[in-house]
Order: sequence, then structure tokens, then C-alpha cells
Amino acid sequence: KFGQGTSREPMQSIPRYLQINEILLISDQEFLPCHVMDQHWKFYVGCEELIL
Amino acid sequence: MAEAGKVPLSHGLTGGEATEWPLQRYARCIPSNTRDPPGPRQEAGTAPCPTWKVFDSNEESGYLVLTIVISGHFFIFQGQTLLEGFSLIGSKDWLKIVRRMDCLLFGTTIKDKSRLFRVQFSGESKEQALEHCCSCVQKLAQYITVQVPDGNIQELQLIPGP
Repeated sequence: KFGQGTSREPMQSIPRYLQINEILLISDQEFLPCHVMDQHWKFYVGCEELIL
Repeated sequence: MAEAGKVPLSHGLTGGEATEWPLQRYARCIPSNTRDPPGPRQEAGTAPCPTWKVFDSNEESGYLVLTIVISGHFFIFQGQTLLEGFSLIGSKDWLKIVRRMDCLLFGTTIKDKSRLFRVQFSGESKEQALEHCCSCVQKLAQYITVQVPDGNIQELQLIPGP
């Protein structure tokens, strides 16, 4: 039959990073002052059995 | 040659320009003190316990993938939704990364504003998840130092000397 689509696996050849159709923006409440982040950071780095 | 994958993952859609790793989980830190009125509880030393906005990898919401493109760009996707995207080139000044088992914690500071996010790698087994994590760390290490606070290096240095 003619008329079959000629494009094979069209999506597979396109890298994922070019298939973005939505961006989840960062909300204001996700930002924290540097010193608070440093405290969290030290806490997580120091945790022995932390399951992230 | 295009088909032969030098990429560690078989399911990756990559042809050498990008490397992908499957993630089990991705989460953004939401500082808990944002709901509290500012003022009363400002005790230095005790960080308020943050909550995490968690994204799980599944068929319904989409699979989570971490991608590093050869250009040095870092992405995290859930399906076709971009969750993180930035360049690793010159990121030492504003980005820090620590590995904890099969998880990575990222801290960014840009213009005096910080945020934290974390990922957990997936695999068919815990060992494979750990392998994925380590191979990602190797890739990241081309651009930035990844902390590994497991203490192994310290132990080696603690061999008693004269």
C-alpha cells in the first residue's frame, strides 16, 4: 500500500531535551536564605543513615 | 554505529550526545518556616525541619530521567516536563552536590537565594541503582566536585604515623 507514513520512529530520534512541552517553574516558597540552606546542608551531609 | 550504544543505559534515547539515568524519585525542598510568621523562632543552630515536594517515577505521572548533554547541560525530566535545567559549566560557584548511597543532594545559591533538591536513582536492584548513581557522579565530576561524606578517605588518612 502506498500512503503509509514515511516517518519511522519519529520521536525516538529526537533527544529528550528537545521534546520538552512544559517547564515546572520554581515557586517563591522553594527559595531559602543562604544561611538556612547551609544549616540544612550541614545536617544532611552529617547524617549517617539519612534516607533522602 | 549510531545504534551501538556506548551509553550505560539500554533504555536511553541517546546517541552519544547525552547520557541518561533513570530516577526513582525527585524532590524539592520547601522550607517549613515559610508558613510561620517571621520573628519568634529564630534560633541559630537549629534548622527548621523542611518538607519535601516529592515527585515519583511512574507510568501515570511520567518517568523521571536525569540527562547530562555533552555540552554540559543538566536536565531532569518527568515525561516531557522539565523539572531542572542548567549548565554545569562554571557551576562550581553556585552549585554543590553531595552523594549519599544512591541519592544525590543538590544545593544552589544564586543571587543570595538558595534552594535544595534531591534525586534517588532507580535500578532493578539496589546495587544497580547505586551503580547508576556512581556513573552519574563520574559524569558530573567532569564539571564539578561531588562530595561523598562516607568517611572512607578519612579512614585511610587516619593510619597512625610516627
